[in-house]
Amino acid sequence: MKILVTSDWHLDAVTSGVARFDEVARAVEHCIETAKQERVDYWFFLGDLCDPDAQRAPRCAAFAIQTAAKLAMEYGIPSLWLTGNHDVIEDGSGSSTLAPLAAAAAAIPLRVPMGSTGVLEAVRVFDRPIATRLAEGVTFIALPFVPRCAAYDPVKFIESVAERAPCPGLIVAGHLNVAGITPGSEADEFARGRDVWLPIDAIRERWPDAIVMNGHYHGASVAPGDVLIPGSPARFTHGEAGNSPGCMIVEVP
Amino acid sequence: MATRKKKATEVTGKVVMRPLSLVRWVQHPNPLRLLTLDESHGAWGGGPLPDAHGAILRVIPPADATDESIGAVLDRCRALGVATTKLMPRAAGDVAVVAEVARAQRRTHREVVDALVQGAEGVDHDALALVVGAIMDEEGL
Repeated sequence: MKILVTSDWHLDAVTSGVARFDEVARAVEHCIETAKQERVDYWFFLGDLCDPDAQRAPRCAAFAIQTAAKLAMEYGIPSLWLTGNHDVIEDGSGSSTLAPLAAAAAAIPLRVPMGSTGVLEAVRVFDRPIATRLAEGVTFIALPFVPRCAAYDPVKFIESVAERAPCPGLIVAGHLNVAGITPGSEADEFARGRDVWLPIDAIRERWPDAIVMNGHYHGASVAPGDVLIPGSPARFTHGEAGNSPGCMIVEVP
Repeated sequence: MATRKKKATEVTGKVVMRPLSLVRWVQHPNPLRLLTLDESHGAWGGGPLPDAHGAILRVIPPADATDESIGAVLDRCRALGVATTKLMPRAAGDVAVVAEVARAQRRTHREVVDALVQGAEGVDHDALALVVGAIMDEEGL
């Protein structure tokens, strides 16, 4: 199984008066092209589409729907989307900037090869923690950002699914804080929400070989505990001038 | 526990090891560059500017830069075709040593009022001082 992982688009970002939407949209187009060329089986988005109170939020949500639809309908690539700390709307509703995509998901069909009998959901949005089967022998655990109105304890959630999730073929994807990473703009210009930590010790204790990935951080890296950080598709602040924006390809044998 | 097969993975030129998976990062072509022209850059002395075409350029003038020299550098930056410039405050200069200004001596309420009483014109200063002093006594001043 091959997965393209992208995150932290921040489509509403403005740097020194320059709106970044068009540039990030081009970068996402490059991701889509990469997904097509690499013949990936899944597309993961690990959170932070845009801030809900941004003037451009509707345009950003529409772009997410267009992207998911293009992946599913033109290339047959199902996509999974996690909410990040910038996506959640803390008004008690539990909604997020990915809610329009979640609503549209039911209307997005997945183009499947002729003769295929598999039934896959084209688009899935995770705004709550979940453990689900992704494919034969592959389990997926989503740990989206923890909003106040739908709070959960990541450690307790991991403990609760430990029995059900087999070690080989386990993928854990989150949008939480990762210990050992020195925060950059995530804790400065892009600070939003509160700190909730990825329970990497609890994960590794149970599943030492799990593939663990996390959004939130704008610089691509491998964090302590072998946590894979895809990074942002653009540099948003001068503190990120040294970043290499892009996306991540993970191959799970 | 599953057998830990190690395969090499790459991230921005570094090779890292991951069990059971192959991971790599794909960089985007031509992401917008964010550059800084700081106070030590040679451009402030008339030297060449960095290649900033299409970039967002943050400009930090030296402490002694004049408005004219800052304007001239900004004009040169714009001529390069930067996306935008962001002018920051001048860099902090050396700490200037200035003579300590003698502080005004603090006076009590009573001293202030007594001075006003003595400065009053056309009144019996002693009588006024007696009345005002009694009020200040009542107020505990």
